[in-house]
Amino acid sequence: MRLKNLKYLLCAFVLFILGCIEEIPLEADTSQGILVVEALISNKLIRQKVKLTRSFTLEQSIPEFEENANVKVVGDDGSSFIFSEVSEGNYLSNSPFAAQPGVKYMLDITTQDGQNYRSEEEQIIGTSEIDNVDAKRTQNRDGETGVLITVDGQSSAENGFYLYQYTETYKIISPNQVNEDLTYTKIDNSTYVFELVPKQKEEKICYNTNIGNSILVASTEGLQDKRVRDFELRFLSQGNPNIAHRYSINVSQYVVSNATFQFYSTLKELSQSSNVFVQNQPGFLEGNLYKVGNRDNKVIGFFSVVSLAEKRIFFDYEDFFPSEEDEKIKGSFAGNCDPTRPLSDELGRLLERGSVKFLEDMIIPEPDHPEGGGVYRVVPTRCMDCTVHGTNIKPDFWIE
Amino acid sequence: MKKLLSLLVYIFFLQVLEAQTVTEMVHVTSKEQSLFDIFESIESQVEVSFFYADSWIEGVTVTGDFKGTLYNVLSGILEDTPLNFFITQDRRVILTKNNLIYSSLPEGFFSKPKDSIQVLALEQPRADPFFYDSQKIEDTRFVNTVRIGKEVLGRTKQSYTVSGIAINQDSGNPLQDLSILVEDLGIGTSTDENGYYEINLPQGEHTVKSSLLGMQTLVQKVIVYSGGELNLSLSENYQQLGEVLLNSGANANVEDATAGSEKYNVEENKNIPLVLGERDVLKIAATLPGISTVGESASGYNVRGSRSDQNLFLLDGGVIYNPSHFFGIFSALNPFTTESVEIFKGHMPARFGGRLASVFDIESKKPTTTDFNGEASIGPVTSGLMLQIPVVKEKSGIMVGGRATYSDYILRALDEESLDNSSASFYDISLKYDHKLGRYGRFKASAYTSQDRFSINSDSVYAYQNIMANVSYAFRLSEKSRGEALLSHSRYNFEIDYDSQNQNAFAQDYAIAESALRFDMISKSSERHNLRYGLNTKLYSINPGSLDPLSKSNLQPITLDNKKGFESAIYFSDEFEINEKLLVEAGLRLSMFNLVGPATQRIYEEGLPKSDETVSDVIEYESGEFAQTYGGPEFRISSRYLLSRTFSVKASYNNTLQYIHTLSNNTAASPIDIYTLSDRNIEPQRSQQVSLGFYKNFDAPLLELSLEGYYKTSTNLIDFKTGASLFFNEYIESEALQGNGRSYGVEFLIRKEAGDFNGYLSYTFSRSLQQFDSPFGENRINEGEYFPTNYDKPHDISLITNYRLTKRFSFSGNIVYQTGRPVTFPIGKYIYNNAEYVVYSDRNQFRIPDYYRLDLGVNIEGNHKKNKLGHSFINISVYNVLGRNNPYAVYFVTDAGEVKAYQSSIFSVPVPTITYNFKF
Repeated sequence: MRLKNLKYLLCAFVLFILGCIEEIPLEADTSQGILVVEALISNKLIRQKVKLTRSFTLEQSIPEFEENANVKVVGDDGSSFIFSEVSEGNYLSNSPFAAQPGVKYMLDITTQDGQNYRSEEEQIIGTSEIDNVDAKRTQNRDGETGVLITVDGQSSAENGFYLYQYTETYKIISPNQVNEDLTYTKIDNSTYVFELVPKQKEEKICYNTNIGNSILVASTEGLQDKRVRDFELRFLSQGNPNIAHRYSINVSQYVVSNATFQFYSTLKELSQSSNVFVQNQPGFLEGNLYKVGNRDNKVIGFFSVVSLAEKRIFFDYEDFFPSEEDEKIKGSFAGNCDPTRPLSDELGRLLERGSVKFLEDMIIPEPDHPEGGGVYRVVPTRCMDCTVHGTNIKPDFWIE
Repeated sequence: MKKLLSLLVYIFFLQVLEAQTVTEMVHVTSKEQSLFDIFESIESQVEVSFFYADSWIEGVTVTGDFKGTLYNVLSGILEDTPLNFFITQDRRVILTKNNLIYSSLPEGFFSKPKDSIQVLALEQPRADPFFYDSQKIEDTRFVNTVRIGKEVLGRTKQSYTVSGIAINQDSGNPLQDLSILVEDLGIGTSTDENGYYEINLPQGEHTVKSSLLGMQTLVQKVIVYSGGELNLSLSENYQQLGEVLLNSGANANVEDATAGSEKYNVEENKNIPLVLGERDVLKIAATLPGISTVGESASGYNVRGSRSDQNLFLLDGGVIYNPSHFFGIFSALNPFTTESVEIFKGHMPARFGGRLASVFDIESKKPTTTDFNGEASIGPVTSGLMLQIPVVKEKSGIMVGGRATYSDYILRALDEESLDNSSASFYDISLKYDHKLGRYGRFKASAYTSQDRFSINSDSVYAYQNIMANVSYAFRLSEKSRGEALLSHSRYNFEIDYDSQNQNAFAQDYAIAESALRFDMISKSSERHNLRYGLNTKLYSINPGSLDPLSKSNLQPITLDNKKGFESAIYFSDEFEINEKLLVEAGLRLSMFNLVGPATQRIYEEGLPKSDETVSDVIEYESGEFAQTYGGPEFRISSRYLLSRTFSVKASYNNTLQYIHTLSNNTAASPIDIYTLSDRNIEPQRSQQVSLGFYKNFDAPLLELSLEGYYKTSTNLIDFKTGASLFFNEYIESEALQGNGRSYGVEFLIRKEAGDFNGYLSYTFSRSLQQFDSPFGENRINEGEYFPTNYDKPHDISLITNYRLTKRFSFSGNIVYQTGRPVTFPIGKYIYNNAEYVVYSDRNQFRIPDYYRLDLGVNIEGNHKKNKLGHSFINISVYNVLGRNNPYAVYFVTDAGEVKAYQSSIFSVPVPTITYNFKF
């Protein structure tokens, strides 16, 4: 065969094959985010909560809330509970109710665009009991000293699947405490008149509350005695200001279905790096919710019906770190609290901005003092006023 | 020698056509004039030039008047001389002495041309002597025809003296004690120290055989007309062998019937620079068309758009499950003990089966039975040693080789902080014994093991191991049929030690083993039929895992029941040469799989997704009972049609079945992937492929070109739901999805094997798609549409080159370009449980950036002095010269409630290395 013929043949062959290629169009990002449903209905008699948001683009930092939706939970015993929106995207049941064992519940949502979403039927799997919540001084893997909070629990379910959430509350004590505040009267742009007055609000002792946001799941499948033991909830290093004074943690233990457990485990797994060589295949995480009458639907989230147990513990910094050495390591929200003595015009401006608080009246100024030549010694507000870091209202559950 | 001579003949006579190319009239009148003058006179009359050796015509004078065509005039002039002549197409007159003329024609074909009494009419020599099939050379006794003296009518003397000098063609030295035997007369003589001989021969045709140990035997047909000279020139033995090998190999791609196969010799590829200077047996494969990997650290090869578990790796006939070290950065086969790798990616001959996509038939070096020798290498990652030890001279020998890493050097070299507390080590050992039994029998034993141990997080240690051992006996039943029996055992196992401080410390293991027996026959029933048939069976035994709690652990020990199954097949194939152009290899393989009890099989409610809740019945099978049987015919047909001697077209159709599956929910194969067998709920994977290819060889410089296209479909591929847990899952079907695959592509390869500048360029355009559809949302991926696989890389180009500057220095370079592989990217975020998470796109909707890389190397061979103890070879190479940060994976992590994106790459900086090899 001559070369020319060969060339023709090759070309024809290439064209034949290339003709089979299909271009697969990239699907445009859906203009509206995917509905995200957070719904965990427990056996505790409270106003149950459902949270509806939408997924958002990678550049944004705040989700859109799904407002004006009709939300209800329907039980197969004929019960039905209507939810109402109490704040953006947050829906509470109109009246308190507790999920009953043996009853299958379904979540039904109709969004304001008329779409109807439903969940699979879910029910309580077993009881939930917390045997103990323990805090102990220990070292973590990186060799840091701190306090480890662990939980022991059990359930009547044959294979227990557990989901934990915690809420921590801690006391904040301002490092600088006086009983007076310095007020000012502005005469003109650079002239202020100052006056000492008794403090109007509590600024010495405050409290702050955080809700844990890590996914904490445990399973007793494969364990000998079907009990959760020493499950690690939270590690606080010694210098963490949360435990500088008194600390309290409330642990919620949900006994969930295997499907709920799988959902949360996968969510956690997908959000962790495995290792550089082996990567889990990521993908869309299917929950137990679906869009009614639509095959190509996507809804994020899982409707779970769970039994709940809660337990709260308290401890002080000194319980674990009693020595004088420990006292030095103790953390503080306030940071640097070195006093300064600004001159009156500067002081006026700082007070106006709210960035300093009165510490001491020197009466006679010292012009060459390293702290400054002003009459009043002041410190940053964060050192005097703990409401910067929390609330001065003592929580109802707080025990000293 | 025969080959070489035929080549000489070819070149020599290439330009010779008809004798009467010069038609002008010539007139020469001579009176005792020398031939010099006569030729000059002719040259002045017509446009021709004469070629001769001065010594031939010195002192020769001619008298006469010659007129007519050049041909007639020359015939007259040279009548009384011992000279003959040719007139070539380009108007040259070539004189020859004694009619010493070679012909490439087979014996008995020679006849004297009618139009000339002196010039041989040459049949068109075989178009390209380079492409003789080695087989044919052995079969056909190649005979040169030499004519001595000049035939003169009426001359009746019975016997003449023939004499000459025998020389070594390569060195030019005379050959002493060369035996010269006239076979038809039974007489002979030998040469003296000057290579001179003399023998009396009767007029007529004789077969003369000249032989000397170490020299290529020369067989010539000699036609004696009168007394004269017959000079012999013989080449050294080994050279001829080398040439035959090269040529037959080069020809195979055009002439054999197997579509879509690749074969390479490991030693020949030693110049190709590879990562960290490790000569790699299998990584080379990924530079060939149609074979790719997910990335630098992925273990497993994707052949023509197929999954990595669909390849059958055979080392001397025994299966190796995971031939990779350190995830997949190095392959676990020792390059110094490996001879060659043959890959069947298109047509899979009927004797192979059990995997859908390809067979990597790896042959280790045959132990030498004569001299002790060996090879050692020192590289930055591993050091290795290979020894060849004769046991019984000329009969049996052992080859043993080993390789090991020294340190955790590689991990330090990788640009990855999270690996700081990690360690890794590995080694492999190969052993082969070969024993000749009698004239035709051969006993072989082969063993192999590889071991890896690594720790990526400081609290868990992973280890994995391959073991293979086999014995075989090859025998001959008759002249036409021979066979081989092989008994083989292979095992792959891994272990994970997770020793954390809490209650979950454990050691977990997994193992798969197979014991196989096979029996293969080859029978050349006639010239045109080459039959192969045989049967084989293997018993799989899988330990799906056991878990042992470590001290203080609260975990319950788990031991899952072993899973067992038989995979058996009988096959028959015929390579039928229908005519000179059409060769068909048609094969049928009947394969069968039996899952053997004890086994527990679930039956699920029909029309519902398989889950714990939809189990309708559970069947228990007793030990030895067949719990499930699958099987079917596998057709293996491939044909070749020769369009010319150097150009062929091949077409093939193949279907295959696979009863063993890896379970993995990672993006690439990993050493801790588990294998499972088909059962009631996991159907065997099936695949069929059609291919069409064109193969063309160009003559010197040897250039090989091929273009192949294929289309392949598969069914029952296994994938998993997002986040499925596979360990200790006895009912994998509840997490598994079975779907379809479709792949197609065109592969182009141009290769130059010889010359100072050699190498190849391969280009593949291919697509690889899969589909997982189901009536149930949870069992669908991407809404049940076809989507690209993780290894779908449409454009894949590799350029592998080597330039030899001198005998000792050569430079090599690789350029690799690939379309970035598909990945699943986040397209949005959402808040759940007060933390941010990402919403992933459809599976593999996006691609990582394209991959490209340049590697350069310098190879320095030690000098080749004969008396040196050994030969050294130094390779200096830089992998990824451009320092291109080729991403391997992109992943997203929720850290303290916020999403962070990370990109990982394996070798993101140029990696220079020096390795030293020593042969003795």
